[in-house]
Amino acid sequence: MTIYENKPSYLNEQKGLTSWLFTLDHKRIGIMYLASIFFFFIVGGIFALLLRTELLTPGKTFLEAKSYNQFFTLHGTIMVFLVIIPGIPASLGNFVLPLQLGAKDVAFPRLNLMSYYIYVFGSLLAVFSIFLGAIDTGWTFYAPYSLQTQEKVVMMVTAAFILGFSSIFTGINFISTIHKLRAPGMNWFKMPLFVWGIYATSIIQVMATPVLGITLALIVVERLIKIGIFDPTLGGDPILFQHFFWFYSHPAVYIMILPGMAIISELITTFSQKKIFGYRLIAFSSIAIAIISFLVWGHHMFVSGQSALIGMIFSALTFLVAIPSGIKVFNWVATLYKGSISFATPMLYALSFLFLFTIGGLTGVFLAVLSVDVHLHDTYFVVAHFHYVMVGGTFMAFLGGVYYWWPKMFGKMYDERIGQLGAWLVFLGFNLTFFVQFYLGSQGMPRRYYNYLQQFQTLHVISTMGAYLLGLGFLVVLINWIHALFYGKVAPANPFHATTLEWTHASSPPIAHNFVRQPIVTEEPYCYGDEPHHIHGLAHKGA
Amino acid sequence: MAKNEEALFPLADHFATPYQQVESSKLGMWLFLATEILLFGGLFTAYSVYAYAHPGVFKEAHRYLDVTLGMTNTIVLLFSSLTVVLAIHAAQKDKIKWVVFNLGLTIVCAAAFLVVKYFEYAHKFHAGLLPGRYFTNATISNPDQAHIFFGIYFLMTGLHGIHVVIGIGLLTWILLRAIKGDFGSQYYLPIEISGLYWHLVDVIWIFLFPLLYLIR
Amino acid sequence: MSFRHMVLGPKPHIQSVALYWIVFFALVSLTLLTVYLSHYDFGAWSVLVTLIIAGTKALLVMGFFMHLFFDNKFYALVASTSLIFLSIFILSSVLDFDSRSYVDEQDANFRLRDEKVYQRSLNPENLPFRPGLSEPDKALLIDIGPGEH
Repeated sequence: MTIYENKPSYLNEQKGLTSWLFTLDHKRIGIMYLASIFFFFIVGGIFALLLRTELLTPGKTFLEAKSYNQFFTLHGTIMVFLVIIPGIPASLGNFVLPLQLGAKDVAFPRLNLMSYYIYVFGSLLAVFSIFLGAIDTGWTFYAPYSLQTQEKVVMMVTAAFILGFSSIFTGINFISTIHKLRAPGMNWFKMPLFVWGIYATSIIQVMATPVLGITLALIVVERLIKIGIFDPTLGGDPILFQHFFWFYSHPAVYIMILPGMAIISELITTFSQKKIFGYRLIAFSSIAIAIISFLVWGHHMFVSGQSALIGMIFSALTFLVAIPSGIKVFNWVATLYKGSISFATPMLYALSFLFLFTIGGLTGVFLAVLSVDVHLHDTYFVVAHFHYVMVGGTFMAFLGGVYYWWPKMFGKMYDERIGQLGAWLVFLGFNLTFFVQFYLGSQGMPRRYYNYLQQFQTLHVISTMGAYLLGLGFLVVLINWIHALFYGKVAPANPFHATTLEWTHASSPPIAHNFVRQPIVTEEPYCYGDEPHHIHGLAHKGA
Repeated sequence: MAKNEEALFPLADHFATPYQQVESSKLGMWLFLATEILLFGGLFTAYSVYAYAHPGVFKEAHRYLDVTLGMTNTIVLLFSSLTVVLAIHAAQKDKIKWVVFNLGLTIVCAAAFLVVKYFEYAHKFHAGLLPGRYFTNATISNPDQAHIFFGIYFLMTGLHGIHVVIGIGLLTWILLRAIKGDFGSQYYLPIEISGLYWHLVDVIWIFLFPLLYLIR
Repeated sequence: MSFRHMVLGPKPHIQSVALYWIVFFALVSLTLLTVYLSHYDFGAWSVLVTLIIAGTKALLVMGFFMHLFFDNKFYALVASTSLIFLSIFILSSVLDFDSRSYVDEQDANFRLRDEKVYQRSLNPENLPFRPGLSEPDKALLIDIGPGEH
C-alpha cells in the first residue's frame, strides 16, 4: 500500500525530502510542478465557485461589489499565470519530453530546477498579495485603473513578472533539448507530435514573455514614480498599455492551447491504434500557429479606440490563425476513421476536446469579425468562448494527458470506472456552465459585472448549477488519482500499446536515467502494425 | 602519449559529447538573448510611439544630453566588445595570461561606462530633468510633456545600466575562473557564453545612443 | 571522420586578430560618422540614416564579434526572429497612432488642442448649454461623489 513499488525507479532510487528538493531529474521536477499546478487550480477554482454563487441573484447575494471584483481578478490571474501557462509544458512536458526524445534529461537540468523554484516563489508572492490587498483590476491590469487602485498591484504584478521568467527558462530548455538531445536516428519528422507541440509552445514562451515582463515593469515604475507612460493625466496613453499587454497575452493563449493539442495528437493515435493522419500537416500547423499568433493581438482591442484601419488588419489576420487549428481538427477526426477506438478515460477526454475545442475555436472566429465583436466584446459570449478553449480545450487535454501518462509516471493504474465517471461529470458540468453563457452574452450580459438585469437570472442559475457539477467532477478526478497513488494496480510498461519511446523502451515508472540503453530510432512515428491491439478490459470498437 | 583532448572539458552527465554540450549551451544563450532583445524592444516601442507623438519636445529634450559623453561611452563599450573577443581568441590559443588581461580590460571598460553614466545622471538630477512627478526643470519649454522624454531616457539607460552591472558580475566570475586555470583551447565555453551576453549589452547601446542623444 | 571530429565537433573557426581590430575601427568610424551627420537636418530622412548606421554597427558586432556569420545558421534565425517580431510590434503601434484619422477624421490622435475648448473645459460651469435649454436639467446630471471614482 505504499506509493513506491519495489523495483528501482526514479521514485525510489533516491529517498528523502532533500533528494526531491534538490533533484535535477526532469521527471521529479515534472511531478512537483504537477502537484503545485493542481493545488493552485483548486485555489483558482474555489474563487470561481464563489463568483458563480454570487451570481445566483442580481444584486448582492453574499459578496460586496469590491470583493467580487477582487475574486474575478484572482480567479483569472491564478488560472492564467499559475495554472494554465505553466500547465502542460512544465508538468507533462518536463516528464515526457526527454523520454519521447530518447534523452537522459533536458538540456539544462539545473535551469529546470531553477525554473521550478522561480515558479514557486512567484506563486507564493501572488498568494501572499491576496492577503495584503487583493487586486481588483481584472487579470488584464488595464491602465489607468491599475495605476490608481489602492490594492497591492505592485506585489501581484511582480509575482507575474517572476513567473514569466519560469516560463522563459522552460521554453529555452525545451528548444535546446529538442534541437540537440534527440536519440540517434530521430530526425525532425520522426519526432512524436507531442514534441512538435511543445516546440511550438516554447517558441512563443521565449519570444512573447519578455514583452509581458517589460509591461509589468512599466506598471510598477508608473505606480512608484508616476513616469507618465500609460497614465493619461500625465500625458501617457492607455491604449499603448493594451498594445503592450496583448502583444504577450495573445501569444500566451497559444502557449495554453498548443500543448493541449500536442497531447490530443498522442491520445487520438494511441486509442485508435492507428497512424496519425497528416503527420507533417499537424507538425507544420503547430509552427504556423506559433508564428501567426504574434500578428493578431489587436483583436482584443477592437473597441478600445485603436484605429479602424489597424482593427481591420487584425481582423483579417485573426481569420488566418484559425486555419491551422482547423487543419488539426480535421486530421484528428480522419485518424479516428477506421481506427480501433477504445473509450478509455484518456480517450473520453480527447473526444471531449474535439467537440469542445471546435465550439470554442469557431466562436473565436465569430469574435474575429470586427462588426460582430463590437456587440460581443466584454460580454459573456467572450467568457464562454475562452472557457471553451481553455477549459474545454486545454484542461480536458491536460486531464487526458495525466490519465494517459499516469501509469508511466507512477507505475500504477487508476480505477477505470471512476475515471469514466469523472470524465462524464466534467463534460456535462462544463457544458451546463458555459454553453448558456454564449446566449447570455449575445443577449447583452456584460462580463465582470456584479449586478445584472433580472431577465438574465434563470440562465445564471443554470450556469451556477453547472459550475457545482463541474466542481464535483473535478473532485471525483482528484479522488480517483489519490486513490490510484495508494491503491492502484501495478501497471505494465505499455498498457495502452502505444508506439512512442517512453512506452516502448522505458519501464513504468522509468529508472532515474530513463533508459537502460540509449534507444536508437529507425521507424516512422506511430507505426502500428496491421493487427491493432485490443486494449485489455476496455470497451472498444473493433477494426 | 597523445594528450587526451577531452580531459580538460567538464562534460555534463546528460550530454554524450563535448560538441553537443557546446552547441546546446550556445543555443540556450542565443535564445536568452532573443528574450533580452524583446525586453528592451518594449521600451524602444514606447520611445517610438512618443517620439512620433511629440517630435518637437523630443528634439528639444535631446539637447540636454551630452553627446560627447555619450559618444565616449559608445566607444568604450565597443572597445570592451573587442577585448572580450580577444579574450576568447587568446583562450583558443592557450594564452591564459592574455585571457586574464583582456577579461580584466573588459571589466575596466564596463566600470568606466558606469562612471560616465554616473556623471550624466548627476547632471540630470542637478538640473531637475527627472522622470514623471519629479520633473522640476524650468528652462525647458513644454515642461508638461518633456518629462515623458526623460522618463523614457531613465528607463532605457537604467535598464541598460542594470544589465551592465550584471555583465560585470558575470565577467568577474569568468575572470576568477580563468585565473584559476579552468580554461584552455579545449574548453572556453563559459567565456564565449558570457561574451555573447556582453556583446548584446553593447548592441543595445548601439541603438540607444543615436535614438536618445542624436535625433535633433 | 576522425574520432576528434566525432566527439569534439568540427574544428572551431578561429578568427584572425587583425579582422577583429578592423571591425573595431569600422565600428568607431561609423560612430563618428553618425555623430557628424546628426548636426545636419535631413528632415524625415534623419531618423532613417541614423537607424541604418546603427543597424550596420549592430550587424558588424553580431556577425563578427558574436560569430553569427560563422556559426550554426540557426542562431542567426533565432536572432532574426526576435528582431522581426520586435519590428512588427513597433510598426503596428506607430501605425495605430498614425492611422487613427484614416477612417474618421474625429479620431485623429495627438491633435493640437483647440485652446478655446481647452479653456472652457477647465471651468465646466462656463460651458454653454445645449441649444434650447436655459439652465441645466438637474435630473440629467449624474452625480459622481468624491469617494466613488
